[in-house]
Amino acid sequence: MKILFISTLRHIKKHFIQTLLTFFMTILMIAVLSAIFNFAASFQDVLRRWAIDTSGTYHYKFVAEDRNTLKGLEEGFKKDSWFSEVFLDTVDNKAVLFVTVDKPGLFTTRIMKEKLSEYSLDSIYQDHNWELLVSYGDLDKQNGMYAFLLIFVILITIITLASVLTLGAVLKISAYQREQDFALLSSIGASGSQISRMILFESMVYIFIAMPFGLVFGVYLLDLSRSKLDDMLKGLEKFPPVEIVISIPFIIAIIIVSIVIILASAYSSAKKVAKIRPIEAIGQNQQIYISKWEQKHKTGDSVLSNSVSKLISKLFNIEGQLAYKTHRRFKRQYYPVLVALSVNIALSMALSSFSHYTNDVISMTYSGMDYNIDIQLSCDDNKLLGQTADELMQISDNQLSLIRQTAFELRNPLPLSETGYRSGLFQGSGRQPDVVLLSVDNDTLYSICHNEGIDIKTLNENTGIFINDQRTWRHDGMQEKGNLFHLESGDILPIYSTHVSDSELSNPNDDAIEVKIAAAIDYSPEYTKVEASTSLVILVSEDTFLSLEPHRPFAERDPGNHNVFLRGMVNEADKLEKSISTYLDKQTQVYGKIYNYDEQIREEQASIAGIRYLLTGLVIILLLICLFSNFIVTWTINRARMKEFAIFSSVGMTPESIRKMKGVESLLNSIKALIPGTFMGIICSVLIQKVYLTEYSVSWTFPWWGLFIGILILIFVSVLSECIINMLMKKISIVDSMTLP
Amino acid sequence: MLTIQNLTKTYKIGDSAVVALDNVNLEIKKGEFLAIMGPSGSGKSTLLHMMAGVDIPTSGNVFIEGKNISKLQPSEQAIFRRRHIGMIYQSFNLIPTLTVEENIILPLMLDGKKIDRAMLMSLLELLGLSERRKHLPNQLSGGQQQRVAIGRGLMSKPSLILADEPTGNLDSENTEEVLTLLRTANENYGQTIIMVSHDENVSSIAKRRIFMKDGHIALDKVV
Repeated sequence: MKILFISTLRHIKKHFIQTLLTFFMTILMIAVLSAIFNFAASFQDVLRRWAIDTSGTYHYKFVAEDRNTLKGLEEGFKKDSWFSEVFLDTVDNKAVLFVTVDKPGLFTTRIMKEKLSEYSLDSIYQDHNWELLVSYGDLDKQNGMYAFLLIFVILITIITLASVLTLGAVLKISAYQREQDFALLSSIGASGSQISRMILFESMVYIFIAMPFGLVFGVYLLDLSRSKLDDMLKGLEKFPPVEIVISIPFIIAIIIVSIVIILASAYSSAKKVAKIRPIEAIGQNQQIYISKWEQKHKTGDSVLSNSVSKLISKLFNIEGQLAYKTHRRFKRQYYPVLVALSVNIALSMALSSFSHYTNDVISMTYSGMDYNIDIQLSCDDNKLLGQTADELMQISDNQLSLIRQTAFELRNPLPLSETGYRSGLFQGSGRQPDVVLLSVDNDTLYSICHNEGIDIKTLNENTGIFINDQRTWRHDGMQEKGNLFHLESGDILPIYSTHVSDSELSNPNDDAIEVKIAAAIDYSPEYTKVEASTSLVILVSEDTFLSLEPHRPFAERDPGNHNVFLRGMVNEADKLEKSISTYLDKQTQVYGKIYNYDEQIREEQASIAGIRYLLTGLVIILLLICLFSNFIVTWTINRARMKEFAIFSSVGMTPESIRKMKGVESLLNSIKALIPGTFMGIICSVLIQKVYLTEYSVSWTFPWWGLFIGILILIFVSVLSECIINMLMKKISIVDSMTLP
Repeated sequence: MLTIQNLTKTYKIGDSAVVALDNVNLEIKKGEFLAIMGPSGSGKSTLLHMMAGVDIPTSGNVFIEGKNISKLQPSEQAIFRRRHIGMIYQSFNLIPTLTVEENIILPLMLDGKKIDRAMLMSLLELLGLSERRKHLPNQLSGGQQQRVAIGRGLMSKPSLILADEPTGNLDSENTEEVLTLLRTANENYGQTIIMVSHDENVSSIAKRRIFMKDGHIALDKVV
């Protein structure tokens, strides 16, 4: 057995370039895994430190008006060895029972739920320190870190699948190269399992040599991205700085995942070589028995293939015809190429979708404010208010260099009592409204009714027309664009928004749902542009609008026409805040409030930049893995075919013709890979969306960008193949090539 | 037909130089059947490769029908080969993905010439491959494969057929068949045949034999 392993090692050594590239590819693969797993460990550490700093070291707490209510719980928990610490205290005149679990872990929340089911929790408020529990690996859906877990799972799945397929293609090529050796070994008595162990051994050599490099490189990449990680996390919460944590369980997980990947990659090749027949080594001098079926499928020309052959011949002459014949009859040789190319396309599309959905989530998570300073002025005297606003504009003008993106705008507040068209409420506002009531005049309303086929008689003071075409109404049945919506005066509007869960939706009136309602009295598309796709738009008559206005729950009351907002994105918001504050202090009649969002915006922007940086890094590394795989496969296939090219040359095929033939083969391969690749890409894209849907409302879109990049890679591989052929044909003479086995 | 002038080929192996052909001069007339003989390493295959233009001489010239093929560009050499030379190798060297029929007509296909189906059928009949014309090379025996290679050399009716140990991998029965085919090509179609062989029995069918030793012609004998 040892001799077979030595033979494998010699094969690895002989094909130095191929081996080197495979090592690079494996190192990159492990590095990505290492970076992601170690980030998970480091993030746990961040969460733990943050949770302890902000909430303390307890895991659960129970609050009641008096200590007696909590006595039963305290005694029960103290008897249970699952809890390490149970401590009853009084905080703000309320009894609080702090509980610490002995060994928090994966199922702590679930176990706690079971334990609590034994107690009556009437008049007891309970809470858990979820960040701390998450930091111990408790990833219960209730713990809020489910989204992180989902992203983690998606990434690991993408990397694993891509690695299995690309490494699989490389190992298949390696097996193909040694097919004759294996057949020879089989002819002298090596068993199928002994031969397949050679492939498994080769894969293990790759993984074990690449493992330390990959682990270290992954940690290095993580350390390199530390500031970006800090930015990303700070944008989410006031997390402490990231410290890279090397966790033994996570390292073991990386090793296990890597071994699973390599074994899965080698499995199909190992299975195949185990069945190799000795005749394949010495077949040339033997009468080989070919079944009728095999003959038919290897050489038989169907009507379709004849038509395709004719078409290709017309387009690419004899070279095309030869390429098509080779392509059709030598499928086994092209299998690794097709796999590598298909994976490229699928991976590009999957990553493009992942990036697209992540961007969607970013836009949902972050406010996307386009101003960092917001000055709200109010005064009973409209004229004085206008003058003050103008003077403040002067201050900003004097510091014009400070203005970064948009100039200050004088925006009228939302007028509710009179028709005014300059409502700019939605421009640059922070959180977009969940529902928008648009007041339109009767003529417009009648015209819309006519266009939408709505009976005008059904419109009354409690109805509006639902016009949003992005969403469907989820309460009281499905509402479609153009349908009437009944607005009950005085009720809290049952709103479907991304900020509420489905369970809240089913009972919209039980608790107040925080709904931000914006209203504009004039139907002016220019100023009532609702950017968030989550918003619902209901057209109502002016009378309805005014009747509903006092009942808008939780909505910021629009301050009337005696207010002025000044908003803008400035470079030095703090400095401007001071100047304006000094100015406003001197005013007696005008009341002003300054909101400075600069720090918040900077953190958000840094966070978004951090996420995009990490995403781009991941995409680049994964595409590099794919390119390595393609290079190895292309290089090996072309090398293996040098004898064939030499024969072509010896019977009079010019080098140009050989290159053209190869070009057509590449084209055929690309077309063939495009179909399964796109199909796989769509499946991946849909699956990623489904996973995201469990936490975020993201809609599926075809990953055109991914497909485009995938096609670019196909072109790159074709060019690469051409270059390799040129290089090899220059290096190797016809005579040398023809003496190859 | 073929003139070789001062042909020398030196290979570099490490620091030392090995002279495979040492100032070889040779004149072959149209319609001749020439056998090149000699021990292993004497330079006979190298000489044949130079004649086919698949190897580049260190110095000297090879003229075929007045054209110096050693000075042609690779593309021109390839075009010349498919029009004027038929190559037959010991290891058959067939294209594995093409059928018997396609391998035979390959030089004509590359030249964009119309295939004479009647001639192809009679050639397949002559080669005993009519039943196997749709088979791939790996579905054939060694003898059948060599007959395909000969068919490829004959189909385009080249004026010169170069055969490098054509019977080296064959049993006696197949050897006889191949030699009969070569003789037929020479006698019936007037094709010039140059065959490399170290087997005296095989070479005996040639009317002219040259013996090579250490890269030069030691003996040139017309039988």
